[in-house]
Amino acid sequence: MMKATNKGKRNFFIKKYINVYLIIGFVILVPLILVTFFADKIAPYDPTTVFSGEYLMGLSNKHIMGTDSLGMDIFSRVMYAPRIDLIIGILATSLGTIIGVPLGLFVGYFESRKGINGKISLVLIRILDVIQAFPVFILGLAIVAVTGQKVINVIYVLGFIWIPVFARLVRVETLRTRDKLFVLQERAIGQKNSVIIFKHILPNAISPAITQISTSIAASILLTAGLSFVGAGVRMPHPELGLMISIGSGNMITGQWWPTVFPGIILAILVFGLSMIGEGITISIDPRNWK
Amino acid sequence: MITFKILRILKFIGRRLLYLLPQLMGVTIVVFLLVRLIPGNPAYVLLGQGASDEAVAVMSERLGLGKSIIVQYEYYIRGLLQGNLGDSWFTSNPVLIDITQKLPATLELITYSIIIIIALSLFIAKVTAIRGNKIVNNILRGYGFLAGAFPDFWLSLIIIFLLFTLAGIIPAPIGRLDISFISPQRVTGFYTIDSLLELDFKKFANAWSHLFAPVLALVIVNSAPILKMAQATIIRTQKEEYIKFAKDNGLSDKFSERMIYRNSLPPVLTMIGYIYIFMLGSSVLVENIFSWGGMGQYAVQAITHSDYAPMQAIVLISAIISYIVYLVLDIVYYSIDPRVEI
Amino acid sequence: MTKERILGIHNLSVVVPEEQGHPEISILNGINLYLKKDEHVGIIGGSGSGKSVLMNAIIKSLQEPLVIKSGEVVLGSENILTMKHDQLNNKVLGKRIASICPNPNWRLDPIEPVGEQVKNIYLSHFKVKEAEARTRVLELFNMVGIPDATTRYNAFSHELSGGMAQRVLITMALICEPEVLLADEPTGGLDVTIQMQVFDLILRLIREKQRSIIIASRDIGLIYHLCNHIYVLKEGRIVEAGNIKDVIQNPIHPYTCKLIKLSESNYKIRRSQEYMDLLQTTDNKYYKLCEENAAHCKDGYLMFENEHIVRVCK
Repeated sequence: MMKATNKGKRNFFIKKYINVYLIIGFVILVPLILVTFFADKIAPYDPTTVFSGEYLMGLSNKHIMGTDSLGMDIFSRVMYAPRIDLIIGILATSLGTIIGVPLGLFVGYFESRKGINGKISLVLIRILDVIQAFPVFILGLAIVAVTGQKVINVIYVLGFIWIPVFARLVRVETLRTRDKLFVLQERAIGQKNSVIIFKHILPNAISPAITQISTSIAASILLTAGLSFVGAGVRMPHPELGLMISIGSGNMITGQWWPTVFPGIILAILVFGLSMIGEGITISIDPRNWK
Repeated sequence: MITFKILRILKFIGRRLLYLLPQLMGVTIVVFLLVRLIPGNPAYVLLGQGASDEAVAVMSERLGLGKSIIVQYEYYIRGLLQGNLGDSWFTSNPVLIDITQKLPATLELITYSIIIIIALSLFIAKVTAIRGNKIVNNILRGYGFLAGAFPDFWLSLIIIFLLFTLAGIIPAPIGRLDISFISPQRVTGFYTIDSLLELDFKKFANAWSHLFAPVLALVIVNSAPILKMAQATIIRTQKEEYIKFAKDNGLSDKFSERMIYRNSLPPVLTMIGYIYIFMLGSSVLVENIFSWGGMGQYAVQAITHSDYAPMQAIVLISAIISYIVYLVLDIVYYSIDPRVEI
Repeated sequence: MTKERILGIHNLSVVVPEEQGHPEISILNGINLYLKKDEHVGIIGGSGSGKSVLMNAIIKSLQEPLVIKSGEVVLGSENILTMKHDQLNNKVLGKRIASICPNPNWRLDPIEPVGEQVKNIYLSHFKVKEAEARTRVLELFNMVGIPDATTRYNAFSHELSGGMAQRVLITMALICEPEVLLADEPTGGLDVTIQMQVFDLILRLIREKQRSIIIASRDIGLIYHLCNHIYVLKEGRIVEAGNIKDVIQNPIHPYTCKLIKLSESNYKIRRSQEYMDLLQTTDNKYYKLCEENAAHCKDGYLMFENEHIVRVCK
């Protein structure tokens, strides 16, 4: 006989929602985020200070991670850098979600239905298809080239790239849900479309979108780093991980590895932590995994 | 039986190609508008900073500036169909010429990478998912997450550092061949193929030695999502009811494995196609590091120098290539899964 | 003349093993079931009584997290549950014991023609040429009454109706001529009219080929006409067993009674007071029986004439 104690309930909750991936993700991300959040209090130097005469110095007590070819302290920069990457990632993903999810709902719900909404839906799908045909990176490069190299543009570009991704995910689920019995019942009693969509279909359709969120944030960070690396993202002298790698790239071949290696490791840790969380959430919300 | 299937597939291709046309038009519209978004006279934008007034006038004429936007678009399309992709003011070449030199470089890189990735995933799928060894499965998963977290440009630098600077195994990252070699007679544009055709084995080996590092970087990073997807799909398919039923009635392992593979294919194929297209774009970074001379480098060069004609052409070509890839994917899909709608 | 026993299930128990969050959950508890040659055994029970689990357990094909806790399943002279995968897969499954299931359309590979799937089962056990195997499949298609067999061979599962798909499943099960057929709700998920067709088909197959069958179903009518022995399963335990006519006409255990009475009468009558009283009398008779015979019962079971067994302890 199982006792329905409070402790039993709490254990049940933990067993139900928490898993290895979430734990690893949090253990990795929380310290990182704390460090970058309090970077201005913790970091030894301002990230853009140039130490003239101290170029490409190796690891030392003064510069724990050495300096780069411009004389900036890598350790401080590495502490500050995740800020921009995270901000861009989160904002870009939010943009993609806020526009993409309702778009997907609309398109999925009205697809191949008669009336003006159906036609709009068709046009939107075609537009989404066309956008998705462009390789992500090239589109990003092109738009930044055209609109100018500003952080806000990077956010717009990446957000723009995520819109079709979220829309597509939500659309598939909406299509699947809209023919289910309970939806047909609602329509039969004359319920307004907007209510049906938001109250009934949304909860079902949103789960793949939720798991996509952390993937998108991670991917946005990698993309930002890539864009900055080629000079189409964050500009000098801001601390950004991809940019730091770019500054250090020329020196790798001559053996000065520290300007490149450290930012890369931090970048990987950041992305890894986010993917862990993403995987953890996916497993968490899948009812088949509940004991 | 076989011809019946082929007929079906041909019909499918026919229908798909019909859809392709309006979609390509959509792409050209986007690309056309892209350059028009830049503030200023499009002729001036395309010609670059130092253009003379006469040149601007000629270009304006060619673009049809001053006429309605529809007519301008018409001029553009006509130009495209004649193979006119504009001129790069930076390289002083027509963009078409530049691209015919640079595109194969990129394609060689990503095609070999994807081939290796596909082989890898097949191997991994067979070894682990089918046997169901828990430890191996977890290691795979870990690799999937870990390898996917590193940016490929960073990994390239690490590889260069380890294998060139420290170990001296791979050649210097300055292009596709050692300086002492002349590029082979152009047939396909792939140095590895063309050197063979020339029967120049030294050149062949050299081309491969230069390919090694960038391909390694691309494979390590880009195989991660595919391996994860393959593993997850196979595990999910193994639980399907039709697998259980057939096995319960004595279907041998050989047959049941084949059944699992075929049913796991669609999502994995989609991922492979997507990664190939993704690499088309993201190879920009790796190409930069290895001075590869491909489309990627061309694109970066165009951006940093505000050279918009190549930019426009690159976006267009990438889109066309991705459509081709998706078409091929869909055909393969359709030949496997009869339920797919056209 | 006693017929030889083909399949014997001794004291089979299946559980969900204990874990943090819940203790061990019993799904099947001490099942004893015997199948003789040419005998047709029916297992009847409501939803959740464990019929499907039992069918799976017999061929050691349980889904996680179910586990066999104890017991044996003896086919001929060997215990299936201790067989290794290879032996089980090559010698037993399909060749000596085959299964059919409800919801037939979902049991077929969606991307392969159904004829090929049946053919592959045949080829898994017999090394013959492809053409020969294909002919055999078509033979069987004709035998089970699939019209236009050659065209249907290349059909896909989503193109088949429920009845057609179930016939294909039956071919898959019978193509290697097994001694025992396990039919788990063979009419499950099918239209009522189709159910009749499948029923007729099974009846015909039984009569013609004289195999041994175990049929699990909620449909008493099905079992009554197809089987000669019946086992009544309730919440993982056999509560009554015996000759079909005996048990149906003289049910002793209240659960059996309810199953029988509630299936044959119409809804209005079921709710009437008369009817409730009738059920109550049967219950009382049962409790009296339990009390009287408390001394005689063995492992909680009482045996009557004709091997009519009833469970008396709670």
